[in-house]
Amino acid sequence: MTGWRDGPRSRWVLPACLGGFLLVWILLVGWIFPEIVARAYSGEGFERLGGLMSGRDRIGLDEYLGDLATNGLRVSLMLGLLVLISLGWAAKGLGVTDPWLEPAPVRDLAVVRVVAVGLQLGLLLWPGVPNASLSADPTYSGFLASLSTDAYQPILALKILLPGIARPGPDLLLAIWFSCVAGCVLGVIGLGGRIPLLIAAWSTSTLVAHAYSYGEYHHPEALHGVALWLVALAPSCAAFSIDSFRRRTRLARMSSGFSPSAALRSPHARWPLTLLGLLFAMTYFDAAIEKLLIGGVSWFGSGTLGYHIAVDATRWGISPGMWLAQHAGALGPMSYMAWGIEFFFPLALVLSLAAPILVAAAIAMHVGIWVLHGPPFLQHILLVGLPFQQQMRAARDRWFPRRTGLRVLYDGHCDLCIRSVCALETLDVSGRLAFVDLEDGALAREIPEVDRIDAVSWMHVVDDRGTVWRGFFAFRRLARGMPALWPGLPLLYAPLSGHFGPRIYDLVARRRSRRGCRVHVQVAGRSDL
Amino acid sequence: MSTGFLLDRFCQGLPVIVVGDEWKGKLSMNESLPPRSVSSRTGRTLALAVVIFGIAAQIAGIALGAGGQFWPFLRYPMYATVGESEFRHQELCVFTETGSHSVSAWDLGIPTFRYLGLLRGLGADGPAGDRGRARVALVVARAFEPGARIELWEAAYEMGPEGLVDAKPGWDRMRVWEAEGPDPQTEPQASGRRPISSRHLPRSGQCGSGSR
Repeated sequence: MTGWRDGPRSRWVLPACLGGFLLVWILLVGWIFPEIVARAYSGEGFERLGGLMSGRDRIGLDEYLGDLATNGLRVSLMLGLLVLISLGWAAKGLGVTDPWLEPAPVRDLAVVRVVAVGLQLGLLLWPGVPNASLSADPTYSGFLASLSTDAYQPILALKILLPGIARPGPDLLLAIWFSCVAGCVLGVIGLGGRIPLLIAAWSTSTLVAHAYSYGEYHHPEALHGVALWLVALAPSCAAFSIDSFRRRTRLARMSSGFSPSAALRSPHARWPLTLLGLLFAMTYFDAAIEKLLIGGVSWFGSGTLGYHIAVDATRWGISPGMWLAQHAGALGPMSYMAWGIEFFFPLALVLSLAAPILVAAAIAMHVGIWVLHGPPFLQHILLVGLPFQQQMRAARDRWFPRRTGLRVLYDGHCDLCIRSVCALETLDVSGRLAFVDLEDGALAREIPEVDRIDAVSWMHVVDDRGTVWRGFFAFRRLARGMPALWPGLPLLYAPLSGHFGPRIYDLVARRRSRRGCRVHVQVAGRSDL
Repeated sequence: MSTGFLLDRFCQGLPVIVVGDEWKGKLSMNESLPPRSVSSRTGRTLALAVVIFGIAAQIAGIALGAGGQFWPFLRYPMYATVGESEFRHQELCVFTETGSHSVSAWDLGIPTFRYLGLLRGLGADGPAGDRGRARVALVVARAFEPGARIELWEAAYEMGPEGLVDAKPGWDRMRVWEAEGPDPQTEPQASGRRPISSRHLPRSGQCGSGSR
C-alpha cells in the first residue's frame, strides 16, 4: 500500500531521517550540551542559561550534568521508539504519510468523539466517581479559587487558555463549568458542528489547567484533554451525530436515494486516531523507562509492587489492596507483567494482531490499579482502545466470525422512510445493520419471502437466520440488536407490549402516510393516503 | 477557495482539507464538496503540523515536564520508586470544646497533594517543622477555634518478606500544640469549615478514638 509520493524506497525515508536525528541528538546531549552547561555554570557563555541556574551556590555541576544526561536519555529513548515504529510501518509497506492520511472510517473518529466527550460530561455531572477528575468538580474548583494567592502558580496552559486573567475567580470557573457542560451535551449528540466541541475542549482544559496551577497533578486527565482537542479539530461529527443525520437526510432527498455511510472514509479520520494511539504508546513507554531510570532493576523486586499497593490501600482504606499487600508473594510476576505491558504497548501501532491483546492488558492493568490502589484511570480505561478500533475489528472478525446482522428493508423513494433509515444508521454504533432498498430489484432475488407491497406498508427486518420481522416486532428486533436502543428494551418487552405495540405502530404508520410518503399504505385492512 | 467557505465547513464539523489526486478512488465522502477544493498540500501540511506538534510536545513534556508545567504533555513516573521496608501515615486531629475533628486539606485551605506533604513534615524537628506547625496553628485557630488542641498522629507500617506485616497498626501521638489566635496581617487564607467530601480525604479515621 503506498500513498503520497511513496515509492518502494521512499517509505524508508522517515525512519532514516528519524534515525539521523537521533544520532545528532545523542551527539549534542553527549558531548556538546555538557560543555555549554559547564561554561554557563562557571559564568561563561550563555548568560540566559546561567541565569536559569539559580541554585549554583548550593547545587554542584555534577547534579546539573546528571539532570541533563537523564533528560537527554529520556528524549533519546523516545526518539528511538519513533524510529522503531516508523521502521515497523515501513516494513509493512506503509508510505510516509499512510499511517496519518490514508482514509479511515469516519465512524471510528465519531466513536472517539462520543466516548471522550460523553466521559467528560459524566465527570462534570457526576463528580462522585471517586477522584476520577477533581477538576471537573465545581465545588473543588471553587475551593481552589478561594485559597491564598501563594498557593497559585499558573502553568503555561492556563496562561494560554485564559490570556489576560491573572487568577480566575469562583464565578468565572463556574461559568466555564457550565459552558463545558453545554459544549459536552451538544458535542455528544453531534449538534452544532465543531463549535461545541471546541468549547468543551477549551473549558475542560481550562478547568484542569486551573487545578494543576494549585499543584493538583493527575495523569489520567492529560490524554483525555488531548483527545477532546483532536475530535474538535477533526471531522468527528461526520457520523453518529444529529448533524450527520440531517446532512445525510438532506443529501438523500436531493439525490432521491439513500446510500449507506458504513463505508464513509476520510483521511482526516486517520491522523487523530494515529496520533492518539501514538501518544498512548509514548506515555506507557515513558512509564516503563521511568521505572528503570528511577528504580533500576531493583524495581522488579517482589516488594516494590506490594509496597506501592500497601501505601495507597492503607491511606485510602481499600480492603482488597490491604489484603493483597499482606500476601505479596504473588506480586513479583505482576511487576514484570505491568512493566511489560507498558514497555511493549507501542507494538499495538505496528502489529495489528497484538493491538487487541495489548489494549485488553492495559485496561486490565488500570482496573487492577483502581481496585487495589485507588487511582482511577477511568479515562485511560475508556480511551486506550479507541485508536485501535480497526485492528480490534479485524481481530474480532478473525477470531470470532460474526454473522451477517440485520437487514432493514426500506422504501428508497419515501422521504420519511429515508429519514428513518438515516436515523437508524446514525444509532447503529455496532455496525450490524444493512439496508435494502425496496426499489432495488435485488429484493425479490435475495429475500423472496418478503412481498414488496407488504414491505412498503410495514417496516421489515430480516435477521441472520432468515427470519422476517414485521411492523412493531421488526422495530423490537432492531432495538435488541442496537446498543443505542437498549434503554428502550424494558418498555418494548413489557407485559402486554405484544398486544399494544402493534396497535401503536399502526397508528404511527397511518400518520406516516399523511406526512408525505408517496405510497398508499395498507394498514389493518384499510387504505390511507 | 474562500475563507468563509472554509470557516463554514469547519464549524459544521466537515473536513476542510481535501486530499489531492492520489486519493481519488479511495475517498468516498458523500459530502457535496465543490470542485474548488482546498489545496491538498495545504491540507496535508496543516494535519501533519498538528501531528508533529503533538509528538514534539509529548517528548518535551517527558523530558522537561516534571511537575505538570507542560500539561497536557506530562512525564509518567507513577510508582517508579523502589519499595521500602516501612512507611508512615499521618493524621491531624483538632480537639475543641465541642469534640474532636479530623483535619482535612479543605479545612486548612491546601490542595490535597500539598496537604499530604505538609503532614509528613509536621512531625519533624528543626525550623522547617516549627514553621509548618506554626502555620497549621494559625489556620486551625481560624477554621476551628483559638486555643484548640492540635495533635499529630502517626502510624508506622512495616513491610516484611510476605508483604505488609499489619494493615492496622497502632497510632502514636507525635506532636501536640495549640491553635494560636490569628494575626489578621499575616494569617494564611483558610477556607473555614466546608462540607467535606470524604473522597478527598484519607480514611484512617483516627481522631476521636482517644489517646493511646
